[in-house]
Amino acid sequence: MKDIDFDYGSDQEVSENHSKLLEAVSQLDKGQRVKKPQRSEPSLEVSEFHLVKSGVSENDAVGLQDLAKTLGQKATHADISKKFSATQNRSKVLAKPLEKPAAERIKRVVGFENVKKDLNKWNGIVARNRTAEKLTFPLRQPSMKVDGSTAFIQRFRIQSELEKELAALEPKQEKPEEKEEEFPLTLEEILQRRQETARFRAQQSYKEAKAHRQNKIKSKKFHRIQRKERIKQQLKEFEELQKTNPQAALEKLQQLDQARAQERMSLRHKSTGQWAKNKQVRAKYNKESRQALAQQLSISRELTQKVQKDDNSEDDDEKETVLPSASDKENPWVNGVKTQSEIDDFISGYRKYWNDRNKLEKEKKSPEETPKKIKKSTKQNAKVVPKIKELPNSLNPVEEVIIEDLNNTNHDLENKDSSDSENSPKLQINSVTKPKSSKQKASPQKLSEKLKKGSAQQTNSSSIQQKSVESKIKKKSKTKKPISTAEWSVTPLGSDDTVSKCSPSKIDKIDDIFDAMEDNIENRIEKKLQKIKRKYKAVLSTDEQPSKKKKNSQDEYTGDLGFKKQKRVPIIDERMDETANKTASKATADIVQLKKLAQSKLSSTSNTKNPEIDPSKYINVKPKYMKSQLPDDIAAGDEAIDDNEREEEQQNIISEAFADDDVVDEFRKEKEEEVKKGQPENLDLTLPGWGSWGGKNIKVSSRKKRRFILKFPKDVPRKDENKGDVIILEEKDPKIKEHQVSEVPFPFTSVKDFEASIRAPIGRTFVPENAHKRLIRPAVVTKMGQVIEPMDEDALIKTNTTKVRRRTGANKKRTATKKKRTGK
Amino acid sequence: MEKTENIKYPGKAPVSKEKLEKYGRGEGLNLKKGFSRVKNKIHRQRLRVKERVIENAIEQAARTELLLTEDYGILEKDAGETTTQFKQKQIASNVDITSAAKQFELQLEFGPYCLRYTRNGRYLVLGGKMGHVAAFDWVTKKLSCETNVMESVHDVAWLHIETMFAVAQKEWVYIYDNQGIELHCLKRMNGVTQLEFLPYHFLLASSSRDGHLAWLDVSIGQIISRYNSRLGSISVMTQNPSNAILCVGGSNGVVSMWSPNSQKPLAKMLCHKQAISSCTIHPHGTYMATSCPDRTLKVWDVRQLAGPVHTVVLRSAAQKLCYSQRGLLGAAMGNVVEVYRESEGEMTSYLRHKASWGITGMQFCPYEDVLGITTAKGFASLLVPGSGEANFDALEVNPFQTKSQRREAEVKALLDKLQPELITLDTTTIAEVDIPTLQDKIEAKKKLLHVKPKKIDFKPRKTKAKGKGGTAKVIKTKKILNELARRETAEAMREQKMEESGKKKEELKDYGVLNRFLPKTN
Repeated sequence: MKDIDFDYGSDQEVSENHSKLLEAVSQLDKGQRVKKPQRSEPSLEVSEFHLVKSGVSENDAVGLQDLAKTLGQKATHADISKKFSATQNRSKVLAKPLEKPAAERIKRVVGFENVKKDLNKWNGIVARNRTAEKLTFPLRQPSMKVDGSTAFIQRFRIQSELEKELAALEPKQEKPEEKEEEFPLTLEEILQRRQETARFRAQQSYKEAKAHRQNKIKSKKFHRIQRKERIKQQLKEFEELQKTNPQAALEKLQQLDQARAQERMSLRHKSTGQWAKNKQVRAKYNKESRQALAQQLSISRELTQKVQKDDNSEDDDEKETVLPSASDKENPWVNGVKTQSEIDDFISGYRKYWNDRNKLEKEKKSPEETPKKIKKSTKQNAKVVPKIKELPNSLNPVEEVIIEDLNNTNHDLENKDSSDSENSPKLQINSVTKPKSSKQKASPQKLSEKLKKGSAQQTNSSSIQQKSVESKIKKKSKTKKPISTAEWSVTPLGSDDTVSKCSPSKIDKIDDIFDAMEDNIENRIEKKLQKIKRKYKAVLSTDEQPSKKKKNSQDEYTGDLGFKKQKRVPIIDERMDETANKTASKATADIVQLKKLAQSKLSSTSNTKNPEIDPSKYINVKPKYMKSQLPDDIAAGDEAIDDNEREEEQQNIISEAFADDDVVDEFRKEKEEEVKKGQPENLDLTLPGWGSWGGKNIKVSSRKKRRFILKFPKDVPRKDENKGDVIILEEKDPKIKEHQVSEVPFPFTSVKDFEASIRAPIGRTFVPENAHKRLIRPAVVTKMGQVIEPMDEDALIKTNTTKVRRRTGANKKRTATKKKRTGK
Repeated sequence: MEKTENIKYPGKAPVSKEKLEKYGRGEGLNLKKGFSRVKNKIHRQRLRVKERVIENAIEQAARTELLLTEDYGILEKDAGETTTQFKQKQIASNVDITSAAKQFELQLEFGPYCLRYTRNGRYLVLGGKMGHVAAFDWVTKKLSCETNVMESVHDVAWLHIETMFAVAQKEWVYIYDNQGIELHCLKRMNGVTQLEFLPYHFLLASSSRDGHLAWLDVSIGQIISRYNSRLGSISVMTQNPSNAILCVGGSNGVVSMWSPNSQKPLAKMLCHKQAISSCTIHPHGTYMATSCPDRTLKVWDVRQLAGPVHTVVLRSAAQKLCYSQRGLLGAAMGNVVEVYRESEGEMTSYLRHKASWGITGMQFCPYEDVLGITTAKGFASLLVPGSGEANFDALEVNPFQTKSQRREAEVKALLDKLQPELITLDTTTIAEVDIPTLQDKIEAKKKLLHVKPKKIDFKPRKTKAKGKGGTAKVIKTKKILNELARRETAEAMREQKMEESGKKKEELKDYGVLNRFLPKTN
């Protein structure tokens, strides 16, 4: 403002001020701007010849071009315009030459790059020479290869008839000709192709990387978006398809539908819907919603549950005694807690069923459908006696009958008699099972008592149920093992199977045999088991530890045998692992236990501590008895046998006498000592009397042992560790050391590699002569007196001199063809 | 050019994998880029080339089997015949005349004889207990020398050539040349019972009555090692031809293996429960056969020090054993010689011969189908078809050596002489790195300032014995153990049953030392 007040003097002043103002304003407006260099000559005169540029902005200036415009495109002014344009043409001005050192530096850099590039061409040949098996200097030698004499002679030879025929029979192998060097592609083409392939590969790798990256993205949102996009794309395609190819579109639609159905079926969205979400939110506070959710979930579980195809499903309607597995938790039949009335109901039903069944059996009709209640009951029983709840397979009719029969015997003996008289096939079977059943009969009370005890904890142990359990046990025992007066017992597997397999007609004849046999076996096994049991009673009592697996009724039978496992012996029977749920039969379990029993004794003697057991120690080669000729008893010629021989004989006698001296034990002791000697002793840092009483016969406490005895680390196992009766000396300072390599030479950094590299002998006594020569061939051979010149560029050129030579020499035909080719 | 496809056998015939494995030297270097610890590309390439050379050598060796053209003899039996029924006479009458000439007998006077063939099987030296020593070319029956040393002779041994042999006499060991001229008297080898010559090391090894073992380097005339084995009088000693270790059979049934480098046995094997009466090792160093007065004969795997591979109970104890080059096992029992052959994994008797006197020594003649036996009254050469190696390597051992060849071979053998330090149980030890020393070196380097030691993987190449380990083997072992456990259980059951049957075994009463006179059970 001040300026304005003050500067209203002259025109010039005004203009000056004005321009300054403009300038200031413009500066205000747009930051800092570097102005163009301007020339300003101070002059006092004001005329058109004294141009003052300072105040004039660029835009106002009159350019030469503007003046030249007036010339126009007229031909008369062509010359002038040409001249003008010539003046307007800006000629390039050479840059100012660089400073010498800088210029030189650049020169050097460029030179280096160029040389580097240039030298790269040597890489190949240098690498080849460095890795060559053998180099002969001078490197480029004219090939002295001459064709073999046979080939040479062959050219002049006339083949006989026979030879011709032979040749025709098997054409002589011609050496596979070297590939003709043709250049189907020019250098540019090759380069181009290479570039293309490189690009392609790069793109591929990008794509791969991208896909990989995208796959790793965990964001659900991202995937959702992706999916949506995909769906949109599909829809679009579908619409397009609809227009172009309705048939395909239909198919596609079907496919989409199917996919959707599958998606729905998978129940992936069971908890993602709006309803479910809402319920989830409320679930924390609202019981109903929680229930609803749970129900939903249970439904889903039900739906997704794989339908297990029951093997017995076909037989189900025939065999009611087939029990469902208790593991089936979803099964409402099993899960529900039964009330007393229900059970009573069931029992009555059961009774009725049996009566019906017996009647039906008599009529020899196909077994009818079981009421579901019975099934239920059986399930319940299964719960009570889980161990025996399942039969190995569907029962065959014979077994069934046996079961029935047993039931009958338990219920009323008269009934049985009547059935015997009435039913002939049953009778047969009965006769088979008689011995056992009679035995069981002998102690039914005992057994039932036992069972009572076993199921005392269980609910609803009504007598009939007990009986049913009993019957089941018996049935089980029929099929697998008999139950005797002894607490447990085993019959060999399959004895009953064979019976059951037999056709009813045959059974009649065989049953007597089986009778006897079974009796026999039973007696034997019983006795044996009793013996064993008695023998190990002491062991059992000490080792007894009720295992968790056997907390069921079986416990009652085998409880006293449930001793702890002893040392692990390499034999591992998976069957030992059986739990209550498993279907493995009790009999097999018993056998396993028996085995265990036997092993527990054995394992104490055999050294099973060592996990690594040399089988060769145990493989005792059976001695072969050779029928060698017996020597004559030579009545020793007096002079023939001298002192020495007599001595020998004596020695033999002595050694025979001491034959039983335990050399084996001695040797083993020796080995033990040797082993002990080899192993450095543990460092004992215990101070006697420190923190405990001192003196004689005072045991070092285990804590002290643990803390103050430093165990020496075990290093490499001895060579003879698992060799049996062999002692191998582990020398501390073997003399061979001085001949061994104790360093790993340069390119190797692992002992293994180095040892592998020197594994092969090279001596001519070990390998064929040719191989030996090749193995010992010097890496570099120089010709005596020959100047070895450095490689020149010629070395880079691949030469085929040898090939050409061969061609010219051996096969004129081929050269002719070659010539033709070259002529082309 | 079109015909190339029709050619039946393009290129060399392929070599079977088994053959390649037979000549192979085990696993090579793994030079794949990611696996190799050799980082430099050039070096890796170099090693690759070297591997190729080795593989090529193996292949060539496998191909040279083609050159082993000679066939091994065998006694073939007809139906209803056994090979043992053929007498020497019958064999001799049925072979060509040159072979028949190889069956002969010498009746000698001077007491039980011992014998030794040269390595090429051409010459034979006999030593009679009563001082008779004779060396001769047994094929031509040309006598080189025959003397009576006027002392008891305990053993004889050829040195590296057929012009020198050592005789263990009453006091000392003497060396004679083929003229019978005494060259040396080795007084440091006294009371010698057994002699062995280790041809590649030029060592004459001896065992003495007082249990001393001594090794004499015959090329420099120095005793390399001599010490007391503490085994008592050594009467059974043999060498393992593959690793030049002496195997000494002890009176306690233990075969101990000795090298001159250690005063303790490198290995001991408990082979029998009684004194070992004879011990012999297969020329390839694979099997060892031992016998014992309790009439057993056992064959052991001497490479793994395991076994027995075979156990045979003879009808009378074998006093002498010897292996032929082809693996036939000769056993002398009294005056009977039996030759056993392994066929289908079992020892079967192959030949049988009855001498008129008790056999005191025997050896299969190398490169001939001949078994030489000595008795109290002489020497007999028996024909055993298929015992000798038919394909000899004349550069190694030449049965038809001329004098100049012998000289050359002697020089070459001396140049190739192995140092006694290289006598080890495992002959490939020399190709192994001395890892403890290497570790020490590296440790020492670590202690130096400003020195960065190389990172070295110390794991040796040979971590397990050949044929050991591997999943298949492990599974097999498991199976065996399972089977064993099963059997044990069965046994236990049976025992239980036995006990139950009422027989109560009374506790064996302990009589202390007199236990040995109790009747033997089991």
